[in-house]
Amino acid sequence: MTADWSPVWMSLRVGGVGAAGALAAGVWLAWVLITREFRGRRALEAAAEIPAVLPPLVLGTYFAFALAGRAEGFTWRAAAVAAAVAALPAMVRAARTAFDGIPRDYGNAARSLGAPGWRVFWRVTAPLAYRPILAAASLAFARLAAEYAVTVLVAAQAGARSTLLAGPLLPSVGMAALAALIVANRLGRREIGV
Amino acid sequence: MTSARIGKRIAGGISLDVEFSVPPGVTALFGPSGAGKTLILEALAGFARPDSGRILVDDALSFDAAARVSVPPHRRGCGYVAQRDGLFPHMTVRQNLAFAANRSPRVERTRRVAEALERFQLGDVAAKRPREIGPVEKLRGAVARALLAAPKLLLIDERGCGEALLRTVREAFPGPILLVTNDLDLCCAAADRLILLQAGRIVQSGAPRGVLDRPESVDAARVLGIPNVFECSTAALDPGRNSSRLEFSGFAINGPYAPGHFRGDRVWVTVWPEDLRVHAGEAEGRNNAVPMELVRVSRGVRAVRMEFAGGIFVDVPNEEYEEKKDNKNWQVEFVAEKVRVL
Repeated sequence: MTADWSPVWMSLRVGGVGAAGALAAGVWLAWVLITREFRGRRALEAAAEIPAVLPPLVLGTYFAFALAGRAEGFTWRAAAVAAAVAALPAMVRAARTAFDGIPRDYGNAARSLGAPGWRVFWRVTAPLAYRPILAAASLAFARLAAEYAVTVLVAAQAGARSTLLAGPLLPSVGMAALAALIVANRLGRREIGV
Repeated sequence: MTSARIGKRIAGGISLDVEFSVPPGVTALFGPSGAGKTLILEALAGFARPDSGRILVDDALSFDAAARVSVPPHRRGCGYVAQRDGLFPHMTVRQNLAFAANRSPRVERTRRVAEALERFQLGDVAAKRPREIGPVEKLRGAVARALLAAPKLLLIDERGCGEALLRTVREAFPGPILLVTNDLDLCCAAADRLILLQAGRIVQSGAPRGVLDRPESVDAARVLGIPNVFECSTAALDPGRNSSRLEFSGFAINGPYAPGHFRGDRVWVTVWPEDLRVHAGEAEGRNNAVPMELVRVSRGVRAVRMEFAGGIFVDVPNEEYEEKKDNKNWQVEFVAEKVRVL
């Protein structure tokens, strides 16, 4: 009997794309919250935390309702978006902590040298903060690859046919998650950017 | 011309309220911790937004609270050398310098970076990262990098800046330099102008030697660290002889004439510890020497600070103290022309 590995790839794909989406959105949101003063900043901060305070089942139910009536039903893209939203609060927190850990004199010096905000980010802030942020992204991937609740509910909305991870193949994803945790641990241990 | 009027509330009930100009040359900002020195630099550079005021950098408006104008830091043309964490730690010294010269074409950038490395004696450490070099080289690198961006105003918030480095900076940059320092010797040696700051206010400004020799207020004397600041009353005033008789609690001395005061006025008097003289033994016809009881002695590298009853401090060279140290009776002589009536 040959094993069907497609559920493993599906889970890894959902986890990977979800973590990547959370990474991009989380870093951008953290950068905006740290560097910009604008009306509604507090509200945005609070909104970014909402997925963290909702249990995964509730979050999954929201997505299920949001997808209700759509022709395509469950797709890995929908699951990846749901996964990214679930991982967003942790990414924002990790990125903010990483940015806060960089002495502001570096950013100030860069700006005084004529560097606009985007250049300060790419040339100074990101190279100094990438390790803890990537560690957080690895953790997000580990969690999302093994996440059931949100995906199950999004899949259930589409009916019975889904390519969810089957119970016997769980150890494969578990191994991937473990590898991600080891990467996160190694990245997290190293001194920030120096 | 670079000039600023800055008003800003600081946490703890203190507010910054200063107005000054920074002509070409070195202007030193001197004051105790928390006086607002770094905040002034940050406001000029655009990192802190004042509540009120106006900032002109090289005659270009950088900030105007009333008109709601605030030019972003990267367009102000203010080179900034931070108090700590100057060079970017993930780049080599050469890369740090190249970051500042990025607007130049590649060949021009390479030439300018090489020139800066040579001028600031950084050739040997060009390929090293900041963690691999010493604090002096880090500071030289940070200053060289700031100058490579061709600033209109150079702000140095680095207390370790020495006279030699400042001289090199002046050779490379003829424009205005605002330097935060805790070193009065450096102010005298290398600054063209000194601004004394206390609790967010300018208490005195002018040529360094003039400010040091002629503090205009008790606050200025205290910011300068003069320990001998006393209140007394004027017992006599003689403008013809440029003299006065000043009565303290327990003794009286002759001082310079105090314009603007009347007999019986309470005035403040200050005198540097090294401008007082000590004599061993009984007073012998010295009209401005007062017998005093020695309370404490603290030895410095070149001088000994003697503290007398009543909080009068005198600095004497080590050799002089060694000659007189076994003495039991002391007189402190006030040199009239060195006494400053505030």
